[in-house]
Amino acid sequence: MNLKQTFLLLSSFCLLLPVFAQDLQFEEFDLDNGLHVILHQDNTLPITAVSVLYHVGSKNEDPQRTGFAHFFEHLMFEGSPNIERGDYMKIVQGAGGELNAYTSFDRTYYYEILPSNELELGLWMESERMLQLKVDSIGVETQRQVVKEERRMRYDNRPYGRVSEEVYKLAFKTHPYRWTPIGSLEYINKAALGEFMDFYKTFYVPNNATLTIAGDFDVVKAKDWIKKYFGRIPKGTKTIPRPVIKEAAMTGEIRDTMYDKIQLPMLVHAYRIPEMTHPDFYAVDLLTTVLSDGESSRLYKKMVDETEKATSVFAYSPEMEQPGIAFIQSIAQTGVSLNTLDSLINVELDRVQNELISQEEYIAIMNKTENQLVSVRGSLASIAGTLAGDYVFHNKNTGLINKKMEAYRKVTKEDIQRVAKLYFKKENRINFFVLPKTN
Amino acid sequence: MYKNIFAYILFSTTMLCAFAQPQILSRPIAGPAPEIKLGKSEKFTLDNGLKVFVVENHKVPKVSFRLILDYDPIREGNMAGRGELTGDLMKTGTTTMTKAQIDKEIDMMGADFFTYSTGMYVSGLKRNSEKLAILMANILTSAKFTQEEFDKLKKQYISNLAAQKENPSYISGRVSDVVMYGENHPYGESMTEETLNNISLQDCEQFYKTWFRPNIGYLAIVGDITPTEAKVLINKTLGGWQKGEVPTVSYPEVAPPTQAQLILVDRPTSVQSVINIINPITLKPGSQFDIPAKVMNTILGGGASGRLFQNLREKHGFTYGAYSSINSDEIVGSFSAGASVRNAVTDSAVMEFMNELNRIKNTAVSDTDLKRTLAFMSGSFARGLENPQTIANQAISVARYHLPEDYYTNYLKNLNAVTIAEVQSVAGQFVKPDNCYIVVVGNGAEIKDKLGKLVGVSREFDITGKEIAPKQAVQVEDTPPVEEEMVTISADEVISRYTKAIGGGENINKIKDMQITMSMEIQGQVVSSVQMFKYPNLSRKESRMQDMLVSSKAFDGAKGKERGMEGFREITGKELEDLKVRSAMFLETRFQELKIPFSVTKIEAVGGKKAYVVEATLPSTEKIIYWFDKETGLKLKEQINVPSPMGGMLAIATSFEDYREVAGVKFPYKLTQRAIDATGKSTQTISFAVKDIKTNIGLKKKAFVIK
Repeated sequence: MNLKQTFLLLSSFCLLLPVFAQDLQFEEFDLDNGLHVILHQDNTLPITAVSVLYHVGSKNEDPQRTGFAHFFEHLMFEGSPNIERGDYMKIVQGAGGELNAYTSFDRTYYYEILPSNELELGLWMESERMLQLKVDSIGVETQRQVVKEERRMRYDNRPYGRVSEEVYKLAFKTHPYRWTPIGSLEYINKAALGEFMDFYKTFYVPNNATLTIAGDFDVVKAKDWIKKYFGRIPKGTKTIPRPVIKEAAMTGEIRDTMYDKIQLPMLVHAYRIPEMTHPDFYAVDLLTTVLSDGESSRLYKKMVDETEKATSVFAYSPEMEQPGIAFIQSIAQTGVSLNTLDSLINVELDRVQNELISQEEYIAIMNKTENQLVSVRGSLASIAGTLAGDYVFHNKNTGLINKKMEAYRKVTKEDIQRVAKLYFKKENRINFFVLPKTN
Repeated sequence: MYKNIFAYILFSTTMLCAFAQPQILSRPIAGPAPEIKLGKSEKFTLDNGLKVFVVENHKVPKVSFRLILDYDPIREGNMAGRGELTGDLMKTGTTTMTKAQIDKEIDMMGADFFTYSTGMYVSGLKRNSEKLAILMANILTSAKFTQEEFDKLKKQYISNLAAQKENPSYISGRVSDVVMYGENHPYGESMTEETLNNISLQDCEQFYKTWFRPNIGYLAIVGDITPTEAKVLINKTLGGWQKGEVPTVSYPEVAPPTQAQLILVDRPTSVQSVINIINPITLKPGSQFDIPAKVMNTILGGGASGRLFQNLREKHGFTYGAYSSINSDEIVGSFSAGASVRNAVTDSAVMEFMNELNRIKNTAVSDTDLKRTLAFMSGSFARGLENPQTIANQAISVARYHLPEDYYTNYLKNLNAVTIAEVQSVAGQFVKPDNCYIVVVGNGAEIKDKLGKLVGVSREFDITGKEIAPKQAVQVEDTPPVEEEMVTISADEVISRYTKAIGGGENINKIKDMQITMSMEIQGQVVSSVQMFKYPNLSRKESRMQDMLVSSKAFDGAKGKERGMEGFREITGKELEDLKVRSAMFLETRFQELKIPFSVTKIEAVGGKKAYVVEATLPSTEKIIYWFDKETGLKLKEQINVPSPMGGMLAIATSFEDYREVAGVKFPYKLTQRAIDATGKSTQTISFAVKDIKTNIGLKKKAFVIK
């Protein structure tokens, strides 16, 4: 490509500022019992998303009961004095809705997407299980099996399935991020009914929950229903424990190996990085984009395309409430050693630490980020999840959805170089080899 | 007694209730049902035959282009994989751009850009929509493949094929396709390393020239763009795309099996069985049976309210999820039902599947079940409209499958008119518990016997989708005694012939230490193995894979130690005594010296050669069996029993070939090891190639100490 073309290309890829003509509108308030409510109205289509985010995840678990928060999530579908066991899903689906839930390190999230005339039903059902969940021992034992099958299917019976839990175990010695939400079979076996009771009373209280409604509804009616169904729930009386453990800084690279039933070895680098609200987090996220997003990204181009040493490479930094880890993971081509992949990554990290990224790369990562951020507004379910998450995990900054691109744009090339030096260094990483198990 | 019953009742009704006094507040009544409005699409056709559908939606400032090439699926036979390879090659170069330039252009826009054998999908920010369309058109009209990119992709494919072999879901899908459609059907064939190696760059070019043509294309443009803008853009960019003659194909008939068949794929490391129950069906998209069939399937296994989920998960706790699906297709459709379940309940889970399949077939569904399902499906249809792609898909389906123009306008009406009788009729037509394949990928040792009792016909497949011949030649290798040939020489004589054959006592005695380096390939991974010996009986054997220690075992004259993936251990007792003996250099020549009882038992054939069988008894009473060539005196094979990691004993047989001379002594350069289980079945074979043998290199005693 000649100079003139490059210039043309650059000028036509200039950064345009306003993404959306209009900010996403919402209103929010607290009930007396502490329940936080967020409403976003969009009457384009006759559907409404209802969600409840409980600020509890695997990091709130007893180390002797890993997997507990997720196990509990399963029990939340069991019923209440007004909803028979086994009916929860049938009622929602029979009303034309869909529902699901998930548990992460930091949150447990429940949602329904309903035809707009069934909003009241959704509110009633979520309030029922927040107020008076009913679980019997049959339910517990059944879900215990189900959760164990989930673990087997997603982790134990799948190539590379157990890698992430091994990496978290190595990355954290004291912080509860050292185990992953699925937990261990041993502790899933031990979880008892009485313990669930205590957990429910501690964490499943309105003052630890955020209710979000997004979609087609009448604001006045919705507020009446919220008062009627959620206003009846008493505020929790227990203090809500939050882990305060601060994981000590790493003092040197940790290297380890696991053997798995796989054909191609995998290399995982995990670098300790700050929490999602830290000013450096955006720069770290952009750095991972420079490294592996797209076929012209640095690691992909070098490792998969040019040298053909890897079949894949992927860098990402999960958003965590407390300091977490960023990953670089790569699967080797047949016959290539992980040491080769390791040195290729090290060379690219050196480069990003020692020189600024190019203007072209800078434009590319901003466009990629913008492309992802605008997609968040593509569905009501994703809007609801984002509003709730930003409120809970970004210091009540519910409007972050409208400001996030701006925050990314403030990150400079120098910032990216700085975080590369600060976090993506050898002394701050786990270097983990996953090798094929031989019989 | 009463007390016990009371305790039982207490236990079974233990409740997790936050409040002693439940609040009664019954289910609210729904408001009037909202009207579902379908989205609008506009369509136009270019002169070259490309049909374009535009769905304008300004919710987010993005535009996507999706091209579907509607050609008859092609059977590629010994070139299976050619279409996929071509699809990926599309993005690797045009007459005016290199791969690096294409990648950069895509990444600078922050766009999503995928090409595949049946079209492409491109999506990005609105402000880049023109550039996206230009790039897409450049690729479609002027793709140019290079040998370099072709070779690169092929290499990646081969690695990925190897990786997929460990994925039980992939194995299940692969084997299901093979048994249901057969390898001569485009849906049943699949690429292998061999078929990939049959494909040339020219084959892919030919594929591109033949099938990437506008006259079989449907292009959906969705997002922040007006139909007028889209029309101008597409005429400008794709107007010059040349149309071409595209062949049509006919297919072999696919019939369900005459009776249910169990298809087992043994994967000994599995902790869950992947169950997939399948049968082919005749169900064309949009036919009169299409909607009732989907209603029936939703009742049976369409989600969390489905019977399969309720039964296998919520009632029995067998699985994380159990579902069924029904797939309409213009050539041949399919019905399938499946779940991943733990090993111990595999047979019970299959039973429950069969019960549910029979129930939906034989018993009318209740009015409540039907109504709830229709409401659920109506809701799904409405929710689907949130994604503007759905509207484009609907318009394309109408054109592609020749459906009535108002098919989707009337969809909800037709859906809600489905009756109980229709549901039962389509269940009878498509669900075939007596004529299905029950494909199970799992741990054969734990599940096979119990499953075999459930189904009359059972077949076994390997993980690549090849059927294992039903009458397995369980024989390890050679047939025992060729004829009743008498052993006429003594064991001493056999050993002295052997000693002479490899170079004689004098040469053997000159060797005071030695180091043998071997390598082998295990599933594409190179494992190197080093064996060291020092006179009289120091030994160390070590295996490494890419610098990682796999195992190390040594005897330093006094202590035996082992380090491996399971950690470190000291070898003691009888095992140590055996190790001490087996550490002797040229052990077979020194039985007498070491007071090892040995005898010659018979003559047997090994690899077509007659051999003396010699048994030597180790201190633990465990035997080593040797086969010495009657003709040349050389050692052809040895066998020893070891405890199996799966419990029980496992025989390890090692064959020796390719003797070469080093320092006056002959060493085998090719070693083939087989593990043989209790039934005599060979479970694993690995071949070692000796790379290097060094003698008298002055190995120190400390080299035999494992720390």
